Amino acid sequence: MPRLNKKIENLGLILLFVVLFIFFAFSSKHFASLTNIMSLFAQMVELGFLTLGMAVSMLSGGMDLSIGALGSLGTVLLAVFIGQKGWPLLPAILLVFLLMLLAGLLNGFLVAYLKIQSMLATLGTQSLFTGIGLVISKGITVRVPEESMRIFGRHLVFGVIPFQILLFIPVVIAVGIYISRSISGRQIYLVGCNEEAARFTGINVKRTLMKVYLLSAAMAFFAALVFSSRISSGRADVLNSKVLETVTAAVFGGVSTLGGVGTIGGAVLGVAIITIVSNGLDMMNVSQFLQQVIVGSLLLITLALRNLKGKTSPFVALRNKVCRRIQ
Amino acid sequence: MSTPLLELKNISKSYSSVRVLNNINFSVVPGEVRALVGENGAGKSTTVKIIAGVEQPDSGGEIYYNGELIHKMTVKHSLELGVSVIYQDLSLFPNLSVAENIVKGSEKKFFVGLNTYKKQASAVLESLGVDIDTSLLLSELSIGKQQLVAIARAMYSEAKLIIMDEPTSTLSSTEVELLFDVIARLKESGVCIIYISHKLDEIFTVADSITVLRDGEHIETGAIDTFDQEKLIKLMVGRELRFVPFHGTDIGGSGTTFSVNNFTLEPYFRNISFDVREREVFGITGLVGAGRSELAQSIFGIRKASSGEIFLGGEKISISHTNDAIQAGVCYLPEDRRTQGLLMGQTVTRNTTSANLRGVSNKASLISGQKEKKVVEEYIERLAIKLPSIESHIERLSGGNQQKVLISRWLNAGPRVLIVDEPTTGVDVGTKQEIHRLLRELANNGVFIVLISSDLLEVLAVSDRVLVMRNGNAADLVETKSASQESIMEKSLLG
Repeated sequence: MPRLNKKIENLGLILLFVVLFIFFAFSSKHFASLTNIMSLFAQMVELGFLTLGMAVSMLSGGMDLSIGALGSLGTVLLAVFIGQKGWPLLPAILLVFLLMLLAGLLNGFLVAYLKIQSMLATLGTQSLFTGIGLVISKGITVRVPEESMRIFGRHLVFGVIPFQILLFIPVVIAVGIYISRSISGRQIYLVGCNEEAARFTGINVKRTLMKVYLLSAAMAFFAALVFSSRISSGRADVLNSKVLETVTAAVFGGVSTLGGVGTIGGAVLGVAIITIVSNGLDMMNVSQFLQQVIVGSLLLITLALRNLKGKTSPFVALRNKVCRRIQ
Repeated sequence: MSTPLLELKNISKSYSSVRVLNNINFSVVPGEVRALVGENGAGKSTTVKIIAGVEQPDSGGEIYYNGELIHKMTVKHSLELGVSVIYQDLSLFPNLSVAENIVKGSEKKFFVGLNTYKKQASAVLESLGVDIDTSLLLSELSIGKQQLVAIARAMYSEAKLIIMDEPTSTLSSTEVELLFDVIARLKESGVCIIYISHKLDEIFTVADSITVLRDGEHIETGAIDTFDQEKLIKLMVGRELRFVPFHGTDIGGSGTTFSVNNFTLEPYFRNISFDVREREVFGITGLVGAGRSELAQSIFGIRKASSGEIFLGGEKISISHTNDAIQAGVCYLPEDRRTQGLLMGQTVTRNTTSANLRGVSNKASLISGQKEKKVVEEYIERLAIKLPSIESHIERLSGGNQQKVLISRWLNAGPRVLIVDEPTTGVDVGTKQEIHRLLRELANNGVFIVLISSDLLEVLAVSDRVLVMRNGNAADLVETKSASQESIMEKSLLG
């Protein structure tokens, strides 16, 4: 039953996405245009990468709060190496990737070996990464005039499909398979569920946590790559504010803050729904202020419905009825 | 006979389509200690939940308290009536003082000074004949003392009916005696106690009367002197069941052994050596704190011993992490099922395969759902595990079935050595027997079995030789055929 429920839960999210899509398509004549749909997907990508990292750290029972700061640091490093120093694209990108993995190792080390609570450790490194970025960039926006860098965030393949979507899809599939099917992925769930019991079942908890924070750093790298290309610059705090959104998206998609529960597919759907709501409301000229209210309410309603699951309540009865219909 | 304090009439309870209680009638009078017994899944916990107002019975049932019909028992209502449940996990506040733990929540005034807390708390403890410093933090007390604090808390809130759920499962024998003294005092002052336990000898010591439940049905209620152990067990399991010894035959056939040499980890244990022979179940016993679990966990790689060697079939194996142990075929079923064994919130499937994920993976190192399903179904059949579905969360299973799942986890890892630590605590009599039979069967099939247990009857019945530990030392090695409970107890106390 639980597996069935999970499927239904994701089905519910897909349904919500479709309903929202139809709603916005009727509300705004520009919404359903090809250009807007493509830009909608492109908008998903940066939040999407960061949310993948966040979701994996949440599955392991933690929460990588430094992911936004690390992404921002990535944009600064890319801008400095490519824009200021004029290094060739490939080695620069490779170096930034390695440096960011190093930062992930630091997070992993703090959580796995020094046993600092994940949220506190990454709260510390969040400040650290932002600080390093500020020092390197001297607190200003560093421009990337380099033409070839445009490909990651501003290039349309065949003149229609934003390149970053083609980057995002394989990464989602890879991370999804890693989490749901691989041995390490399963171990991440089990560690997130109960670290001690995981250790007693022969799982190397430290190594598992290291993998988690490396993965989340890699996701921050992708976000940095796309973002710095899209805005042709790097800034030390540019992605910091996205952290809360990633938590919102992951939770929306059914990833538990307590660890061990959730799916990558769900998290991506969470991103999709949040993005479509904000894009659609933009199209309808709804103010940013009101948008906050709507997204917040949507999240609270979802959480309430999810928590009521299994208990007798009119909401659940309704939800079950709807789910049965869909089935 | 006086009016019953609490009376349940025709109480039934169903969860979706499963009926867990069927027309239960149950009544207790003030000053009575009533033992509520039955195998896991018999309906004891559900009965308690209904009395405490946590669950509502199906319509048709009636609850009377002091002769009055209670229309809807809620948690708040039951507390007001003086019903107090002391759960296994105690539900106290470890970071507050003993005094606050006793008084908090039932203060008679809004503002209470710390001194008043202490005075009132001390008075309650004194009336129970317990000596605990009320200014200590709760977390500084042993589990046994904490339990007494929980009882004192119930007394302070003027409880008339105290329900104790397996109160002695984590207590040392002196603490158990202290608890029994307290129960005697409570009885004198007219408090009624419902005592739930799997330990039959305790029930015969402490209870006035017994109610037996089986599969949600009321089987029998009667005064204590109308029962004896054999009859009680028979009523609980519904069939004749005696404690059959499972001693091995042809022990040490081919001469291969699993040996532990001079294992030391201060301050837990020192210079422990033993050999487990082929087809043998090797017992380790001793009092709580003798270092048994620490020894087992060191062998398994949870905490590294400071010195010592392990040989398996003549080859030295080095274990620095649990993963090494499992690779070498050394497996450990932990003592604390809830925190060290079960992966709560995960499915039965995931709980079963967690120690050998490679075994259910395909060539690309991806976990195959089909292989997992096959493995899990195989063990469900082999160990007769009762469960709603293999995708059910593990916490939905009864204690005995949870333990069987954990045993499957290790069987699936292909054990050459299986160390089981208190494998039958909180497990019903029938499952206990099944686990004993399984251990013997594994030993006969060439798995070296190390059975750690403080249940001396179990040790004597199942193992062939027993290592008695005392204060981290090996006190004696005993052949069980020539040993008695008393002689082993003497060794573990005196040496």
